[in-house]
Amino acid sequence: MMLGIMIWALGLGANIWHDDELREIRRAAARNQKKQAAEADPSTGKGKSGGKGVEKVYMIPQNGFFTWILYPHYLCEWIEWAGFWMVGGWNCVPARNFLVNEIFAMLPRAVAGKKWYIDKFGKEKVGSRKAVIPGVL
Amino acid sequence: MADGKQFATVQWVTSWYGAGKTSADSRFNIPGKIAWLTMEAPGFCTLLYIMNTLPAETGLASLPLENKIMGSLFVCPIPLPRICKLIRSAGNSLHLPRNHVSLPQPLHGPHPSFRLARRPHIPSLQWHLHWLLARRLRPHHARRMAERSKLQSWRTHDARHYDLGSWFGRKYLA
Repeated sequence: MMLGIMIWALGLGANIWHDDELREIRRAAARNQKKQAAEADPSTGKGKSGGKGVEKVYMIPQNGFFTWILYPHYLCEWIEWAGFWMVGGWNCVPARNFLVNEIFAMLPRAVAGKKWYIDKFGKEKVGSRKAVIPGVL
Repeated sequence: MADGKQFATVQWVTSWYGAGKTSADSRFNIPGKIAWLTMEAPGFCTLLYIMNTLPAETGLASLPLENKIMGSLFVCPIPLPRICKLIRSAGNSLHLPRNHVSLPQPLHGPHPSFRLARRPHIPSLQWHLHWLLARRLRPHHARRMAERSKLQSWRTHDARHYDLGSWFGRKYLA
């Protein structure tokens, strides 16, 4: 049970961290836009791109498990709920179903998401990154 | 298998997925945060309701500790990211630019023995872990960083140290 809680906590922490890496992309983009708007020449309006919004800013994150996979937050969530299953015991059907449901829902999303990344950034930029399981898928 | 697996499996054959990066422009779109919370709400609400009513229904004085632990494990991931963010934004109230903290490069900031001589400093747990890992995994790099930190002025270090952007670490007394 303690081991399960530790795995759960590790998965949760890593999940939050990787999610935050993703959010940082738009936070950084918002900061840059703000900076550009501040530095823009007020007389000519040159260099002014403020108000563009960061809703559709996309980048490939590089840190942590993003080095090897595009969806580490999915993987970490699975680890988290595998830990939860472990806490409940291997016979705990609700906990097992929760994990199985998550994998069924998120695995195709991650695989489709990898295709989206390749379409958006090109094969070279995505490189050898896998969708969700390092080195496998 | 009377649950969502069949629906989820449809994703293998269609590229349509009406959320996030593949969402379409529509006035029926719900903002991500609200949508996410709405999606999570039935789960934890049901669980909390059951956990509050079950002891009375079954005649138990109180649920076993294990159930309570699992219940809290299920519920607490929902507010936790927000709490982390609050803690961090409180730590970043100096408005120094936050560096992209990367896991495989555990070396940011000077060695604490050096800092202690200059001003009161509480190295955070994360900080210690970083140095511990660094000395183990990249000893040459660690030594070089320690040497370099001794050469630089403490003013530089302040900015560098805040750049660590630690979530849970309290970095300075004053």
